[in-house]
Amino acid sequence: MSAGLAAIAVILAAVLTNNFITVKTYGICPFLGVSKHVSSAGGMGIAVTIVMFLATAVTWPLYEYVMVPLGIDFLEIIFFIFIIAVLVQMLEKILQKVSPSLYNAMGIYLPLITTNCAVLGVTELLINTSSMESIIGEGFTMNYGWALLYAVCAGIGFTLVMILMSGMREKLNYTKNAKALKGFPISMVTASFICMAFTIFGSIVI
Amino acid sequence: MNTTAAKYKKITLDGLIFNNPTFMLVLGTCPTLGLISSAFNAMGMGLTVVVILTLSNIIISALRKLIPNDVRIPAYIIIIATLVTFARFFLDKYVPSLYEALGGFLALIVVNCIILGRAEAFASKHTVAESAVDGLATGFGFAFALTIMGCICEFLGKGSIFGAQIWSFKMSMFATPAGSFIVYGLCIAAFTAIMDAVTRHSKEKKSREKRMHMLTDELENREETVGGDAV
Amino acid sequence: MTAKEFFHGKAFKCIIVILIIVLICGIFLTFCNSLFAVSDAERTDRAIAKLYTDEDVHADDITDQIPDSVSLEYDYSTITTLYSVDNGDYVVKASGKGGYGGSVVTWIVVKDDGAKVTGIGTVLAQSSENSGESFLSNLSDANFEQFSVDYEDGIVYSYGYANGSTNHGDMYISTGASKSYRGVCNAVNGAIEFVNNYLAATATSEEVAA
Repeated sequence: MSAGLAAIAVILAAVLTNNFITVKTYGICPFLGVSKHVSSAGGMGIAVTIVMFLATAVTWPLYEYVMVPLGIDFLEIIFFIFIIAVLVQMLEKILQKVSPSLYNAMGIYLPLITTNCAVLGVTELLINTSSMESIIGEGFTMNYGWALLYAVCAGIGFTLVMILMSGMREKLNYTKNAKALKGFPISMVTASFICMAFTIFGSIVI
Repeated sequence: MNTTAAKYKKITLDGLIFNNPTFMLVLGTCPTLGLISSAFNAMGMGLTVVVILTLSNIIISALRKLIPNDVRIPAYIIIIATLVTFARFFLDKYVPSLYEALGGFLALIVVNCIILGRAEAFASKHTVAESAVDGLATGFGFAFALTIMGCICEFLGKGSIFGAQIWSFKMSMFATPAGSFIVYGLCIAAFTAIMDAVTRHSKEKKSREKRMHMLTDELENREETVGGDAV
Repeated sequence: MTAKEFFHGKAFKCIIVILIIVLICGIFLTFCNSLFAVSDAERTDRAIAKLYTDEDVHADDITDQIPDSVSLEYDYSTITTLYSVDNGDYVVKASGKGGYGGSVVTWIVVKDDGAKVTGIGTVLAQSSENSGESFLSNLSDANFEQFSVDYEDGIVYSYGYANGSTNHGDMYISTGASKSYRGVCNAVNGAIEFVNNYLAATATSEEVAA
């Protein structure tokens, strides 16, 4: 598989065919909790994308070049969740110092990200080299660059669905619903339609 | 003695019904939506969470005096991650079919909001016994909700319940995340509607009893005054 | 802050507590890891046990071999391993292209008469080996059993799927796993082609040797 084709395959797989929210159902808590307005959904999506990229940038080489040779790869969950927690804390402190305006816009979402399945999910998915090969296609060899690209694109896919959902939820405010359906239930039924639409992207063949 | 029993009863009812993590608090949604397309997987996930939640509640409540307040969240996360890794080893060795079915969601129990939430909100402030009861109650509330939705989804999506074929009609949408979302949303709506009806009913009953009491009191008072006049 | 203050301070206590917890957890997990370790042989044994539920076949009844004389790459599938079972069957582990969001790793029991493939036994696709596959669990046992029924002259043509077919047939309506099924079907057809080639190659090499 040539590099250009592989890049297209990685991008399409991460953003559309294996979208984290609609196909894998990772990261549903922020998807339902922070999608009331388009601006907050976008902010959350960008924050998740940045943390996904940073987490993969640290965990992938750590797993591949340190934990596997030392034979401590069974400790992956502890290491990964700890690294994500530390990264999120550091990012929060750095943002607060460097750019207070950005911190005001994004800071409230950062603490929520530690317990976001999507970030731990992407790091766990990427270290499973054989499953990545099966996702992208035969003749694809996983390396650091592909891991980073996949992480960023998974974040973009997450942001895309967040924004789609928040757009629909803003419209939901003007509709009349049964009392029991208000809030989460009607949002979930709405989310279901987005999922149905995304299922069709599985037809993409490269 | 009576107060202790009442306390445990309250903790149990809270975990199972009034603060049901799936229907009332809408926590731990990722494994719920990912696994309810099959009743067996949903129940397996629920029972795994029961075990991990109970153990983590017991350990964290036992260590609550030792862990400094500033580093409590990292400490809880490490303890939960250890338990999840242990569960992973155990399932891989002895229940491989469940291990395969849970897939990536097994590792993601670490970031399941229910477990960290109960550790932070309950286990860090209560005794070991209370925390254990709370863990069991909340865990079974989760497992119970997942199993019910798993049965509904599997019945609609594959025409079977726990793998036993019941009818041949299938709606394949209910075996995908899209169907899981719809079933979950409608189940929350149904649960809320039932809870509303029950609370309204009990409130009406209480107020009716209160009115009855007031009426009987009034009658008694009047009788007394009438009797007094006669004397 | 002097060193003494640091050692009596809160920060030091926090670090010590976290380190102790990490250490205890690490030792506990290392112990568990050696206790609950599942070897590769055991995993193969599990897969074989699932393939032969009725018959008594164990890991020591099979030998794995990756023949270098026969191509492992086919148009719609790639062969991972070939196991020859003592009862004369071949077990092929192949990954078929065209699943939903990833290829499908499948175990296939291939029956033969020594010169040609005569039928398909059990077919198995484990979801643990297919983390890219989201809809594999929607396939029922009946869908997998269909392969042994539909085998005809070196090709399986189930529900309108043959090698690389893009026709949806009835599968889409009935299970919601049409693409996954196509992947499995491609793997099965690849395995048949591969075993046929393998038998032909061994026959020629035996002739040469004779």
